[in-house]
Parts: sequence; structure tokens; C-alpha cells
Amino acid sequence: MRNLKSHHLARANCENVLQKSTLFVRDATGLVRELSAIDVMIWAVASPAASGMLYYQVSTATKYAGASAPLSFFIGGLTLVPIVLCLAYMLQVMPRSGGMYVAMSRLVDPTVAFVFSWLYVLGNGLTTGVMAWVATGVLGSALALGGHAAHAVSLVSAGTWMSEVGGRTIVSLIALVIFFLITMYSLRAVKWVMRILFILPIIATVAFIGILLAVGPGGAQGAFDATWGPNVFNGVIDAAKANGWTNPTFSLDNTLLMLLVVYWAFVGWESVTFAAGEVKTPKKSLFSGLIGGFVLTWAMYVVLGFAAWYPYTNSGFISAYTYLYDNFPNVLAQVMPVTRPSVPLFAGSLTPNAMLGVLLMVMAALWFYNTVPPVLVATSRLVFAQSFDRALPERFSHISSRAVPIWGVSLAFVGGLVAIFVYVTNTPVLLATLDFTWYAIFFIFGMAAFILPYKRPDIFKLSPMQRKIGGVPVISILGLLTIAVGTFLLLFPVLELDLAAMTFLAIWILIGLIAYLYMQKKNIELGIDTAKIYHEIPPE
Amino acid sequence: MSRIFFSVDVHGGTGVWKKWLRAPEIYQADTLMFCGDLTGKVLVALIRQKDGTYLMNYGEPRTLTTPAEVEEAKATLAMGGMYPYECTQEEVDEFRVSKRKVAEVMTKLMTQRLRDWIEMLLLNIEPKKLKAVIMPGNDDAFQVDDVIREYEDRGVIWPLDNVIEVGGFETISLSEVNTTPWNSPREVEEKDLAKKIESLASKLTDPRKAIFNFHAPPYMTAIDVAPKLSKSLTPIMGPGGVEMIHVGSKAVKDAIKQYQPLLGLHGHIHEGGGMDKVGKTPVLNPGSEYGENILRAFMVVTDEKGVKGYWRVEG
Repeated sequence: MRNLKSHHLARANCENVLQKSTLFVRDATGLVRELSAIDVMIWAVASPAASGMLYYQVSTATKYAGASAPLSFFIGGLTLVPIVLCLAYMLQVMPRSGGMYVAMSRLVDPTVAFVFSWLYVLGNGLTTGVMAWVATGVLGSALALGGHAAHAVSLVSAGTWMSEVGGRTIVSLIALVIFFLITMYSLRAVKWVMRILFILPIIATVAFIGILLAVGPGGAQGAFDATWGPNVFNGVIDAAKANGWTNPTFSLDNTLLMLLVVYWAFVGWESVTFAAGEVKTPKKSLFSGLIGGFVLTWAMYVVLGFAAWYPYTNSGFISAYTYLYDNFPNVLAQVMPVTRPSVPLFAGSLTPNAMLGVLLMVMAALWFYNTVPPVLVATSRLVFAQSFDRALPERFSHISSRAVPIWGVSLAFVGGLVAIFVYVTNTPVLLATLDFTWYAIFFIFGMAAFILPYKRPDIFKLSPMQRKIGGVPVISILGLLTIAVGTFLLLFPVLELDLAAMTFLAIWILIGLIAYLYMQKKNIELGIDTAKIYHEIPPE
Repeated sequence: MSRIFFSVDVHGGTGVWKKWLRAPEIYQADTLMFCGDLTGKVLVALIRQKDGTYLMNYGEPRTLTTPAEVEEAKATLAMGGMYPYECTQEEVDEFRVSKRKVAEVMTKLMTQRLRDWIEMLLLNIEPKKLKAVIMPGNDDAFQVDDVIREYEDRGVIWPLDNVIEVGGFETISLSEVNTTPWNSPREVEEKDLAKKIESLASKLTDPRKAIFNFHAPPYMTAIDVAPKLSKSLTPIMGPGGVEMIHVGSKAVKDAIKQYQPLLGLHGHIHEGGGMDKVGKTPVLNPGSEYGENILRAFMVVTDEKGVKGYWRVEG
């Protein structure tokens, strides 16, 4: 006879179980198609557009004296066109969660693909924290600057607090946590947040371009002095001259050297491709969204580069200011408040209304924040794809009831926390690591594209790009160009890596390989034929 | 003269499959075709308890207390196209978070059921006397292809990628369909579908004397009408009831218009059962009511001149 207490417990358990359905539907990945072509375009712009929109147009004026920013951005964008086209066409063939990783693992080699994608996971994870940190600094500067210009002490205090380590850490962490929670909630929430975070900085950027062009060379000095006080404009130039500055002439060499920062400014446009499995009508949307987003970013960079310098060209003011900022900040501080050279500074300073200038600067700062959500999504979907291939533990392909791969998002979040910690402790390893981890993947992806028509003709015949030039498929040619540009992009950061960065990267790769090899061993023990996994294209 | 028994969209329904196997006996068919969407989509977990009973919740919770009840439940679920799976609570908990786990188990169950079916088929027919064409559809995972092809040397005809002979006529077949809201495994955009059709048609001696066995029905015909769906993928109700729209393939329609084959055999739209013409070409879709264990099919009679006649059957 059954014990009464255990009977009640058993009944309670039974009722508990039966409240939930035991019916499960075959849903392939379980991810939901949420993003439209417009969202792809927005993400393709928002992910890279940050330093390129705010800083690099002007902040490298001393390091690359005489460089033409618009020309450098134009050349940089042009050299990336083959990679963009390569990725856009390849995604039409296999638009899957995990983006480039899927192509690389199926076409080149699963282990090589895993290693380079694992590096990309590191880069993305760290980037979330980097962007939150930098964005907070930019926001702080904007508030402080605007506060000075508008004579608003509270704004100056707030901005100064956010620019210092303590305040910056707190606000960065808050921002990262907010984006983490949104990304954990649902992709739909991320989509709507991105739409808002895109519109605001675009408005600010267009407004800046308009103000810069409208003021022009004839009005720059007057407008600047109206914001900062009489004779500040000439005061900066005179101080720079007194300390050895001369107005540089055009330098093609430095224009090309400036590509070092230009390429970094473009990095990230491919983030949305890792969520290809969640894009509606992916073949059309990814193609048009990616290319549209890249072209828009490219165009904005070039136009912004021209516009930022236009009113200041004759006087050489930007060059003079940057010279003082980089070499004699104490001298600069005697003339005006010292702030990092940026487009918001030089454009905001010409804005007729000081509070409007503050508002636009704050809106422009969102270019950094809006990189965080797409990168969180990209990292989680890449890890999802690797787990779906049984290259990483199964947990990373688990999804929530709202179709979010929560463990992947969490991994990216941890990366972000690490990045903020590294910044707080002022460790210089970070940027070189980021460059390397972001660029390395294109080198292998180019190989995948090159080899596609020959290794998998059954998949290649699904490609809309079947044309050949001289008997060689265009997609292979694009793959070759991607390898070439990818190698070039890979070598830049390699030259910058120091021992600490190399050690850090080696440890990261080791961690990934241990996890990967453990999974392969487990797969063999379970009798799973991993060769079959990599022969098939994963479900959509 | 040839008598073709054409059915579609069984979606794992064992009851419907068994009825199809009796077509030669009942309809004197010499060619059996089961084309498109062979596998089901639903796994029902039967959770093993410590006391030997099983718990399941499919619509309403139920406890299965005897082995006979368990077998009856499994058979009923299989008849309706579902895949019963005996498992532990831990496995069910894993299913709730891991779609990959669900997909893995379902793939095993789907392929096993398909094998069982084909073995049943081969017990019932003599491949030398009767042709059996089995084709996957857009809802079928690609693993299904290997299962069907395993039986090619025992007489099962694999129709994809090549020209086969049905009823004395060249036949080309296509499992892919135009894009749907459901993200099924074999969906392609219309222009890709057009390319695939073009590639197949180029293998025909004379497309006007061929049969087009395309899972997707032609657009804007009587056989491609399906309920209009809201953003949450539920049917939209209008004043006259469920609103219906045309969801067939424009690429298929254009191809049939262009080539004017003898016959178009289609499926995919369960509610679109019926017949129509595209130009002079009759296009048929048996429709599907596998969930109610009803076999829907078309009987098609051909002779050396072409299609003599066709009629819809239901069992």
C-alpha cells in the first residue's frame, strides 16, 4: 500500500508535469525571422559607424599630417567592395545563422573555421564593452563641451564625471547591462531599439554636415568665436604656430597611411550577417541590406570627411587644434577647454544655438552605443551555430521561449565586462587584440568563396552569381580579392601586437580548442558522424 | 494504358500510407506516386514514470497505465502523423530548451518510420509489375532523401534531379516550393525555382509530351488557394469565413504556360485539392486530410497518345 504522503507528492508532481504540453514541433533552429532588409541596412551602418563618424575624420590630423580624410575613406571603402560583394553573394547561397562561419566550416575546414570564428567571438565580445566605454566617454565629453558652450554648470559637472574613470565605469556598466537585458529579452526588442538608436545619430550627422557646409570657410571664425569667446579661433592657431606648427600641404603618403584607421572605421558592417537565420526573405534582404548599408556608410564617411574640413581648410584650424591637443594640451587649455578632436566638437562649435549643439553632440554619441546590440546578437548567433554543429557544448544552442540563444548572449556580455575592466585598469593590449580578431576571419572566408564552385558545385548552382570571367567564376574572383584584402587587413594588427596581446590571444585560442576537442571526443563516443554535420548546410 | 494513383502530403500519417498501399488492389493502379511532404512535424513525448506508467499531454493530459494503452496511444498518434517517443522527464526538460535535440530525435523517428513504410510497400507490391515513385516535399528534411534512395535497388523510384518514366511519359519532378511563412527546409525564391525548372526541362526530349511533377502548384489556379495568415500565422477571418488567397508558384505557372506539358501533378496546399488548367495542361492537386486519416488522391489514366482521363478519389 502506498504511503499517503508520497502519494500526494506523486500526484503533485504528476499535475505539475501534465500542466505543460509534451508536444514538440520540428522547428529547425527555433530562431524566428524578425529582421527586414531595412533592419539589415540599419545594422550594417550602425555596427561600424562610430569612430569613423565622430573621430577619425579629424582626430588623426597630426599623426597623418596633410592626409585627405575624404580621399582616404573613399580609397578604404573602394578596397572593401570585393569583400562586401563576396559576402553578399555568398549569403545568397547559404543564409544561415552563423554567417561566414557556416561557409568556412563547410568549404574550407571545420577546425580552421572554428578557430577563426572563435577569435571573432572574442573580438565581438570585447567590442561590446569597448563601445560602451568609449560611448560613455564621448557622451561625457559632449555634455561637458556643451555645458561650457552653453554656460550650464550642471552639464559640465555631469559630463566631467562621466569622463572620469569612476563615473565612466559606472555608466558603461549600466549601458552594457541595459543592452544585455534587451538582447536577452527578444530580437524584436533589439530591432526596435536599433531603429531608434539609428535615427537619432543619423539626424545629428546630417545636421552637422549641413551646418559645416552652410557656415563655410568664410563664416568659421565668427561662428567659432561666438561659441567659445572672442579671439579663441585665432588664439588656437597662434598658439600652435608659436609651438612649431605649420599648416601641412596635401600628402598622398599620409592619406594612404590613414587607411590604418579607416579600415577600423569600417569594421563591423558584417555583424548582421551572423544573424542571417533571423532575416526575412534572407536572400533578397541580406543582399540589398548589406550592400545598401555599406554604400550608405561609405558615402557618409566621405561626405562627412569633406564637410568636417570644409569650413576650416583655409585657416588650418583643425590641424592646429589637433597639433596642440596631441603635443601641448596645457597650452591649448590656456585658450579653450581641452576636448578630444572630434566632428561634434568642430561642427558643434559652429552651431548657432549652443543648446542645439549640445543636443546634436549627445545624439551623435549614440553612434557608439548602437554598435553594442548588433554585436551582442552577432556573437550569440555565431556561438549558436558552432554549438549546433556540436563544436561547442549544447548549452549554447539552447534558446529561450522568445527564441533567444541566451547562453551565447551571456558569453558576449562577459566579454564586454572584461573589456570594461581592461579599460579601467588601462591595459594597452585591447585595441591590437580587437583589430586582429575582427579582421582574421575575412582571410579564411575568402578561401571559402574561392573554393565554392569547385568543391560544392551542387551549392554553387544555387548562387545567383553564376557568371565567369575568363572561365573563372566571379565568386571565386571575389574570393581571391577577399583573401588579398583580408591578408592586408590581417597584417596591420599583427604588426601592432605586443607580447601581452599575443599571449592573450594564444590563451583564448587554447581555451576554444580545448572545448572543441572535448566536443569532438564526446561526439565520437556518442557515435555521431561529425563529417556528416559539416557536409550538410544547417537548417534555416 | 497506364493507371497512375497520385497522392501527396501524408505528413507522417501511417493510416493514410496504409490506404495508399491498397490502391493497386482497389483501383488497379500500376503506378503508385506518393509525392511531397512525407514526414510529420510533431513529436509527442510519453514520459516514463517510476511506477511504469506514462504521462503525455497532447491537447489534454493523460496517464497511460498499461502497455496496451501505451501501444494504442502510439498507434493513434502515428495514424495522425505524429511521432510518439518514450522518454524520461530529463529528456523532456532538454527538449524544452534545445531545438537541436528535438530535431535530432525527430530525424531518427522520421527516417525510421519512412523505412518501415517502404518495407511495408515492398511487401505489398512487386516492383517489376508495379512502379512506386516516392518523392520528398518542401517540409521534408534532406535526410529523407538518403532513406528513399536506399531502396532504389529494390524497385523504389527516386524521381528528383533526373527524368523518369511515368505512365509511358517522361516526367520531371521538383520538391522545392516558393517561399512560405513557415521556413520549411526546401523553399527557394521564385527566380531560383524558375532556374531549377529550366534545368530539368532542358533534359526532356519533348516537354509537350511530358509530365511535370512539381510539389508547388501553379499560381492563380483553383489548386493553390490557402487561408490568408496574420502576422502571428493564424488564419484571418472575414465576413464570409476564413479569407483565402493564392499562394502557388509563379515560376511553376510560367513554366507550364511556356512548355504546355501533358499534365501537372502538384500538392503542397492541403486545402487546394482539385483540378484546373493552365492553357491546355490539366493541373491536379489531390489535397490532403491526413490528420483525419483520409486518403486523397487522383487516379490518372494514360495511353500512348496522352492523358485519357483523371478523377479524384477519397478513402
